[in-house]
Amino acid sequence: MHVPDGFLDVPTSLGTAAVALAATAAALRGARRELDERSAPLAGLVATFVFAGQMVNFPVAAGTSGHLIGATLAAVLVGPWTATLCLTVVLLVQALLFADGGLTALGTNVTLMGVVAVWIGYAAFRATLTVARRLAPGRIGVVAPCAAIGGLVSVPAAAAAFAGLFAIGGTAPVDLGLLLAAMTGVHVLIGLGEAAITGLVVASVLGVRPDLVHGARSLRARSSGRILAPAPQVVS
Amino acid sequence: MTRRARVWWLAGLLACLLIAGIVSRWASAEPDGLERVAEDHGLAGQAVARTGLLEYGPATGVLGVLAVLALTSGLALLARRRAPVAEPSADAPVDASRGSDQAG
Repeated sequence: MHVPDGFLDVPTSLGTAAVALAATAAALRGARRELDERSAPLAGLVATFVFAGQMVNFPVAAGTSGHLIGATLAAVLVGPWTATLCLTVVLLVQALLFADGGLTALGTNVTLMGVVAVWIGYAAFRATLTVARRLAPGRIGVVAPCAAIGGLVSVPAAAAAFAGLFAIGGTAPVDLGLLLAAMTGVHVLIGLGEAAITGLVVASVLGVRPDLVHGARSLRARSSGRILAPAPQVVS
Repeated sequence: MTRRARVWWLAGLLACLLIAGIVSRWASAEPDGLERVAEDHGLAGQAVARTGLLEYGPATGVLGVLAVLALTSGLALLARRRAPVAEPSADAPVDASRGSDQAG
């Protein structure tokens, strides 16, 4: 879903660049609340995984592939502000080194994958988690399926946002209803792959380092004790 | 980081390197969702192609992984260090230097 140069006109690209810059500045501040000595090394690892994962396109339909975006995965593991930073770094390296995604479209890609996919995916995760916690109180096992649902929602959300941007500043005459339907449709399929990878990775990290998973913090606070209590720290 | 945390972190990095350097070999070469829709709806011609410094491949994938790791780790340390120090913690600087040793 990397938008190349030329799809959106200059004013729209400048607009998304402004959104991306503001989001990155806000994320640098917001990430302070999410990062401590233990979670900061995880942030580097999460961005690295997202970059590697985005290299592996999987087939979704005849003649069409998709790949992980990793926005919800990052948000659940290290927090949404840090996830915006992680996706921004990944998109920057892809655009500058590999010409993957346009240069004038960098702001657009950060807006779509680093802002829309991160925050819609994280919101869907939190909403699902709220429901799941009522149904199964204190169960850490609900976190990974909720993350998968967040991942599933995040991909068509970013695709729909692209169609919206194209409606504002697209460089070709297209039927926007059809574009929206086509973008959302194929990206629901890709979202299923996103959901599978997101759920599996979150479950794996929860299995070995439940103390590190940002999205499980509220559960730990409530069911404090037993296995989930974080390792003793100097502070706290 | 504790010894166990370091081992876990290195295992995670190894997994990323394996994905970028080896698993990516079997990646589908078909157009992705956006490219497919662009072709079907007549906007593919609007795309301005450009050549990058690198092409995706096992070696360059590993290079990209290391670039992302270095940049994000640097940013994370920066964002974390600027935080107001609520309680003085003698452990923090030691951990930080170990972390950057690992990253480098």
